[in-house]
Formats: sequence, C-alpha cells, structure tokens
Amino acid sequence: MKRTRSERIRLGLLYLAVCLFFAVAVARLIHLQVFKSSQYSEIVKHQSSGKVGIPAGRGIIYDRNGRIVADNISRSSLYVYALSHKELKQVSRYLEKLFNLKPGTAESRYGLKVRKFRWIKRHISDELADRLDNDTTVPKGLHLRQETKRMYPWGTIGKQILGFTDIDNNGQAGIELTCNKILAGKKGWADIRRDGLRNLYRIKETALVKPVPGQSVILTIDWRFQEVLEEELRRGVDTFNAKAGMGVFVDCNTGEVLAMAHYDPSEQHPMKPVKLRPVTDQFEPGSIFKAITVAGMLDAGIIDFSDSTYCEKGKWKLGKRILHDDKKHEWLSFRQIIELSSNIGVAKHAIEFGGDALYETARRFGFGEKPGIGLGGETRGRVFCPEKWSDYTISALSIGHSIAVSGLQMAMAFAAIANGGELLKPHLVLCNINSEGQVTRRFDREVVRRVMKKSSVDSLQAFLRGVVERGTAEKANSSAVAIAGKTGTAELPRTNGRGYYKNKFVASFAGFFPYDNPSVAGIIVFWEPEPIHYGGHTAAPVFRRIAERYLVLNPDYFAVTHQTLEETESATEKTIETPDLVGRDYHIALAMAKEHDITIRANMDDGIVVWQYPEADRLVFRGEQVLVVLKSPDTSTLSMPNLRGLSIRQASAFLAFAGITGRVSGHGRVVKQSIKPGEQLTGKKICRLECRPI
Amino acid sequence: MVQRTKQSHHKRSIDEHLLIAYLLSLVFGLVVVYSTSSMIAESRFGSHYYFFFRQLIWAFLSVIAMIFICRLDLKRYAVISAPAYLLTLGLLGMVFIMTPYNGAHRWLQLGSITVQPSEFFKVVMVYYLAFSLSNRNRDIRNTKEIIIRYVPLIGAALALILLEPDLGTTIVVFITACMMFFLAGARIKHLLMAAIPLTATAVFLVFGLGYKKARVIDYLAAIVDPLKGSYQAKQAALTLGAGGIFGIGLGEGRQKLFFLPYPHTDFVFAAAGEELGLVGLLMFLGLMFYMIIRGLKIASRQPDKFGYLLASGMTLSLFINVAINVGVVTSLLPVTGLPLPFMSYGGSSLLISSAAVAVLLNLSRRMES
Repeated sequence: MKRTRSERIRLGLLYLAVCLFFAVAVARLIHLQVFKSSQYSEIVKHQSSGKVGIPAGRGIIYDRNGRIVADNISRSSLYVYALSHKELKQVSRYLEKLFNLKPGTAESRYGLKVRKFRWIKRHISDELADRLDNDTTVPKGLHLRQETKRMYPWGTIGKQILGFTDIDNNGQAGIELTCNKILAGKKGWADIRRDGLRNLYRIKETALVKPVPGQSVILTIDWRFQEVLEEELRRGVDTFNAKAGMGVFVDCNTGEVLAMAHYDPSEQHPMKPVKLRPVTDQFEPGSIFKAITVAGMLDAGIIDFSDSTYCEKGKWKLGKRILHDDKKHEWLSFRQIIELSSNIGVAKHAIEFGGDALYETARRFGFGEKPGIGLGGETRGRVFCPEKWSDYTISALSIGHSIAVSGLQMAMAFAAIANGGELLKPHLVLCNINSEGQVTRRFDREVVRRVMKKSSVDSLQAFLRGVVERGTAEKANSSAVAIAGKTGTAELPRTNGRGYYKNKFVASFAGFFPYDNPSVAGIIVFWEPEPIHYGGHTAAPVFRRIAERYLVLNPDYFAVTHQTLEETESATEKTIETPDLVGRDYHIALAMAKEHDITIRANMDDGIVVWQYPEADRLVFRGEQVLVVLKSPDTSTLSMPNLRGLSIRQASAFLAFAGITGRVSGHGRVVKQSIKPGEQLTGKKICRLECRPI
Repeated sequence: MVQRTKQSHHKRSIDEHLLIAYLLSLVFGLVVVYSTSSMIAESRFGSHYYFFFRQLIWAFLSVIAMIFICRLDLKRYAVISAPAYLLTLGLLGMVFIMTPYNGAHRWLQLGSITVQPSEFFKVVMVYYLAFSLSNRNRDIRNTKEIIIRYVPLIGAALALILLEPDLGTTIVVFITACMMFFLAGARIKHLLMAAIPLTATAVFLVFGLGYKKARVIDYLAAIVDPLKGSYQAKQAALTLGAGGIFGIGLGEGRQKLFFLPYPHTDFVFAAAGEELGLVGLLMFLGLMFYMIIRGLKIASRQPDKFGYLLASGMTLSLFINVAINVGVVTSLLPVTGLPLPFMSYGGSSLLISSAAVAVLLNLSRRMES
C-alpha cells in the first residue's frame, strides 16, 4: 500500500522538522563549544580550582655555639568542616563526649556551622591525636591537621631575648619578632581542585609555587653563659633581698652580646618575655658613670696625676645643696678619688672640666642615642642638658645623676673603654643561614665612633683595675681572672620626679675582664638591695662569679685550668675534665670514671668503648654522667643504650653518632625512646624521643 | 488478509544499519554513564560502579526485550493495546499512593527496582494510537468522534502525568499524540483547537498572572546568553563550553563534581560534552539523527496504515525526547527534567527507548521497496 499524498506531505514536514532541529542543535553546540569555549573554560577553571597556601618551615634559632634554642615540632590541630546538618550534629555530639561538655552546647561554643571551617583546638597533645587517629567512630566532619609549633628546648632560659610566636607561628616579641621576616620564609601555593560543594578535591602533584623555608638565625648569645647569668641574677636578688636584677655581657672587641637578662620576681613569670629591660628600660647609673666622666677628662688632658684634691671631709656645700661622700675623705690623689669613688673629688674636677664638655662626653659614649641592637622598644636613655650649667648640675651629671641610661648602653660604653676606645654597635645576630646551610648574611663588627684616645685608655683601665684591687670593688677581685670596673650606688629617684629616696638604692657594677687582654665587658645592676645596698658588696661579687663561670665555659679561650679555679675560694662549682675513655675496655673505663668522680652509662655490660659524650677533656661538673657506647669485638652492629633521663643534647649526640635521625617531642629530659634499650641498630633509621622537663 | 500480512511479515530481514546504530548508542551511553556517575556513586554509595552496574543490567534486559519484540507479530497483538493502555493509565494513578521521591510521584517500587510508568505509557500510547487510528471504522476527521473517544483518554493520562508533577513528560506525550493525529490525517483545525487554547493559557498564566515569570524571563535571556539563565542552564552551558571541540578527556570532567546538577541523568549531554567535546556530541547526535531518519523511512514504506503510524509514532517519541533534552541542555528550551535516550542513567528510559527501536526493527522487516 502506497502512502497517500496527504500522508507523504505530512511525513515530509516531519522530516523537515527533524532536520531543522538537528541543524539548530549542531549550530548551537558549535556556538557554545567553539566560539564560547575559551570564555567558558576560564569560568569553569575558576569555579573548580583554587589555591591553597603551603606553610614554609620556620627557621631555627641557634646560639653562638650552634646549640638549638628555638625549634619546630609537629603538632596536630583539631578542626571541624561539616557538609550537612546531620554531620554537624554527629560532630557536636562527639565533641561533647570528648571534652565532657554539656549536651547541646558544642555547637554554640565553637560556633559550628555547616560548611564553615572552625578550629576546635590547636596543637593538641600527641596522646589525644593518637586516640583520634585510632578511633573509628570519629564522625566525618571532624579532622586533624598537622601543624608546626615553636619549641624552645632551653625552656625559659633566654626567653626574654627569643620572644615568642603566636599560634600561627608569627613572631610576637624578641628575636622571633625582629627576625620574623627572615625566619618565616615565604609561603608556597598549590593548585587544588574544588567540587561544587566547595570540598577540596585534589591537590595537583606539583606545587605551583614551592614554599621557601625560613632562614635560620645564629645568635651571638652563648646559651650556657645566658643560663649562668640568669642563675646568678636570681641568686643575687634572693641573697641581697633586692627588688630586681639585670645584667648585660658583651664581647668588647666585636660588640656581640653574649648574655642579657632581667630578673624581677614580682613579675608573674619572671623569666617570660614581658620586656627585655636591659634594652628597653632606663635607670640613673650613679657612680659607674664616673668612669665615663673620667674618660672625658683624661682625653681632654686636664688631669695631673700627681695633684691631690681636698675632699671636704665628705660634705661640700654647692650653692643651696650639699654634696655628700660616703666616707670623710680629706686629701685624695686622682687615682684614689676613683678607687674610693669620691663624689666630691670627681665633682671638683668636673666643674673644672665644664658642663658642655661633660655633656659632649656622655653623648660621645652613646648615651642619649639608641645603641642600634635592632630589637623593638630600644630606649635612647636621657641626657640632661640645661641651658645654663651650674656647679651643682655639673657635679650631679659627673657622678651619674640627672642622666638615664639603659643597661645595654652602659655595657657598650665599658666595652669601648675595654677595647681601646672604640664604641661598637651591639648586635645579637651573628649570621643568617638558608636551608642549604649557606650563610646569606653575616653581621660583622661595626664601629660607631672612636670615643677615647688610645693613650688615655690605658690610664683609665688602670684606674678601674685599681677599683677592684684596692677600692670599692674588692669583692670583685678574683684570683682566676683580673677584673676591672667601677661600682655604683645610686639613690633611687622618687617616682614623682622630685628628688631621691634616701633609703632606696640602685647598686651596680660595670667592668670588663681579663684586665690584660680585655675580652668581655658587662654590667650587673640590682634594684633596692637591703640592708646592704652598696654596689661593691652586691653587684661586684656577682659580676666576679659570672666572670669566673665564663672562664669555665670557655676553657679554650682562657688558659685556666680547673686547679686555679679550685684555689679561688669563690669557685662556685666543682668541675672536672672528662677522661678519654675511647678504645678502653669497659671495666677499665669504669675504674677511670670512678677516679675522675664521674659516672658512666653504657649500652652493654661488656666490650670496648667506641664513643663517649661529653668528649674527652671537657670541663664538666663532678658526678656528671658520661654516655659511652660499647661494641663487642666479635660483632659489627651497635645496640641501643638506655637514653632515659639523659638530656636532649646527650641523647641527640648519640643518635648522630649512630646515624639515626632523632625525632624529639617535648623538652627537658628523655622519658621515652622508640627504639628500646638493647635493640640492635642495624636498619634502624628513626628514633622518637619523648622528653619532659624534670 | 491474514495470509498477506504473514507474507509481508517475512518480506525482508531486519534493518541492520539501524541495529548497529542502536548498539553503538547503547555502548556510548554505558561509557558516558560510568564516566559521569562514578564520582557521585562513590560519594553516595561508596562504589564507583553503583550506577554503572545497574545501567549494565538494564542494557542487558533491554537487548533481551528487543529480541523478544523483534519476533512478535505486532499487528496481530495490536488488539491488546487498548486494555494495555487502560492498565498503564491505572499504573499512572498508582504512583500517587507511593511515597514521593524528591517531592514527586513518578516512580513505582516493584521489589528492589523502581519503574517510571510514564515512560511505559509513551510506547503503549503510541501502540494504541497506531492501532486505533488505523482502524477504518474510525473517522478521525470527525470532531465528535475525537472529542468523545480520544480527548478523555489522552487528557486523563496527561492530567495524571502533569500532577506527578512531570511537565517534561507531559509535553512529550502531548506533542507525540498530536503529531500522531497529524500523521494519521487529522484535520489541522482540530490540532489547532488543541494547541491554541493551551498556548494561550500558558501565555496568560506567565505574562498575565506572572506565574513563574522570572523563570521564563531567565529562559528567554539564556537563549541569547546562557550565563544569564538559571543556575542549571548556566552550568550546563559552561560545561559544554569547557569541553571545546575535542573535550578534556573521558573521566576528567570537573563540572560533574557537584557543579552541574544531575550530571548522569538529565544533564548527561552536557557532562559528556565536557569530556568528549563537540566531536563526541556530534557522534552521538549523528547516531540519533540516523536512527530517526531510518525510523521515518521505515514508516514511509510500511504496507499499511498501522505500520506507518506505529513506526512514525515510535520515531517521534524518540525524537521529541532527544530534541527536548538537547534543547534544555543547550539553553534553547526552558529547564525541564527529561532523560536523554540511551545516554541518561535510568532503566525505564533505556528499556523504553530500546523497545521503540525494537518496534522499528520489527517493522523494518515489513518494508516495501
């Protein structure tokens, strides 16, 4: 049967409609997929991809001897990202159980919302992280993220200098803040893909911009010396019943700060970084400033050493005011004036010297200007310059009143006296090193200006040595090292700015050592010591003890044997040199240890010593434990010693020797080790050490 | 008469070209379903293959159904199309007693599988209309006859599908029915009587009463610039555009990750366009075009009016489905949810589309040269 004409026409129309549709569809597809393609691709790329920051590892801070003083450890942080209300409810219920919260409070407490990122707890304990990792009931929206946390292996020691970082590892104070840019490095960026629900979907294999790890910073501080300074300040404040103590020690030939601390027991955390007061705070120096006054007068050549000056029996009327001496001195030579610290003697010479010259000397020595150590909040101090000098104002300035200085300024001034007359710029950073270990920037000795003629430096140094040998600072006299310096006992200015307290003092001692070949200059200050308030009896002996302990710490620089120290009644520690045990049989080593008054910890009961720490000929305290590694002659492998109770340094030294990477968490002493004592070390790569402060 | 039918029944072998085009579409669809559904399947059911395996089973069933249909004498069993029509109408009513899914009563739960009666209704209606309109006792040019017999029957089905609600299928069914009347030789007057009041009502609803006016305006804007359309239209256009000429590679699609809605069902055409590009889509459209043209050719060479109407009706139902789905995805038509034959995930759609092709293959054996 043939189609009717009508049917053929109608079917033909349908053909036409079909062709028309396909033509339109193809045209539209060409429109969208060819002509609009690049525009639409961009939009799709934009909405389905994103960038995510890759944090750069923060640089490590070392002390001048390469000890790590600020490090990074890995910590887990807990956050919520829930995709639905159901997930959110599960997460809330889980958190309430986990943290023992009241049911129904977690959502408002943490501000949880669907598809919103919320931190729950940053840097959770390893214990909790392990528990969450192994818990299969953890709901979907609850996640852990690995972060790094700043860790300070020395605890509070030097913390005022180091400062701290916030939880996002941004420096907030101290070196962490000053060197933040160098330490922080540069964040990297990675391409990620998102889906329509804003989930991160895939991170492409290669980072778009790799993070540049932060550079490490090597400080000029010697952390063991810093420890000594802080300990001595604490002891001094306790012993002398003082309100606070402060100390700064610098290498007088380079301007490198070796140690710097402030201790005030009334502060909530005395050693936590509130402020680095030796840099930020100023005080009236009192008699230690006489060294500067004398430096100016010697340089000007107005002193005749053979002359004697009448010291008015301790009371000298100057206009309406009276200048006092501590003792009723009569005729004193210039040398004696300094050794005995006669205010009247110095003032009489200063009046002759003149106010402007005196003011100029103070400015020359760096007072009234920032020393430029590069830390935040550095004070410039205050040097008083009246329009017209009176005898009284001159004499006040000459003995260190009506002037305010920082501890650092005074230390640098004494460093100038010690190094032959050059005022140096103090610095805290020796160099920066990048992640490849190359030095990127070195901070060298920088002279601010010459402040004294070389010829007058010798006389001044001799006077200052005399102060210690015969004068007010006899208690600073050490038989181990020749110390030179000047004491100060200043009345504390009233807080209302009018006059001085008659019973509150600032006791200080500033000086340098060794006298023959000055290497370290420094200052010690105690606020309001009672009842003994003289600098010569408080600050001076503390300075001496610190100087002596410096020698113990740096036996290579000073040919001081422990015998000379033992002879001095003031040696604060009993020290000993470690014997060389390497190559000896275990039993012989034991006997040697007994003889040297040290103890030994070994990894086995028998064998030959192949390694020891501390190494031979190191000064250590008596009773110190020496870690030795024994090897039996018939095997080639090492076995793990018991590291528990050892310091991180000692444990790390062993791991380095054994070629094992140490992963340290916490600080203090080792309490747990992942490789058990006695285990063979062949094939072992990593050892985790858990530490806790004791 | 019976003898003659039998003879013509065995006149030729089946249309192999159509069979090959069908099998290629089937494979093409399976690949696309896997690629576009795997991520969603993973996130919802924990297995990449969740949707793919189901579709594979349906494809298998479809091929079996096709072999079965090819062997039937469709004209002899045509008498059962009337009760089948009523039965399907009953099924369309039954969906309302099922619990709604996504707010719609479209599915019937039969054990572990779900079927969409409206999909089955499409082929049953075509079968029934081919049977009924080819009956010499019916005068389809008679207004009274049409109003009494066909308007209630088809109107009831349209009303039920519209109430599900499934506007897309309603339109497909309506247009298919109208076109079959048109091809059967109905008066243009009658067709206009059906089309004009409906169009007028729609225009009045939208522009007079403002019903969904914003969506319609969105749609009109999207014809010119798809980015100004609704979220779905915009994402579909972006997805197509991102594919470009050659696509970004099978499985590499980004838009299926929850940007493009229903990437494995209603918007599968766009998702495939991103991965396979213009080239891939033209291949698929080419297969569809070929099958439809082939179907119309089979229709035109049928020995009787029944075969003519049945073949053209089946072809029409395929064509209208393809046309509306592709129109929606390319922002040429307003958004309405309709599966794309052979490519969208969904058993009912695949089975019914296969059945339509099977009917064409069956009829291809009766073709006259």
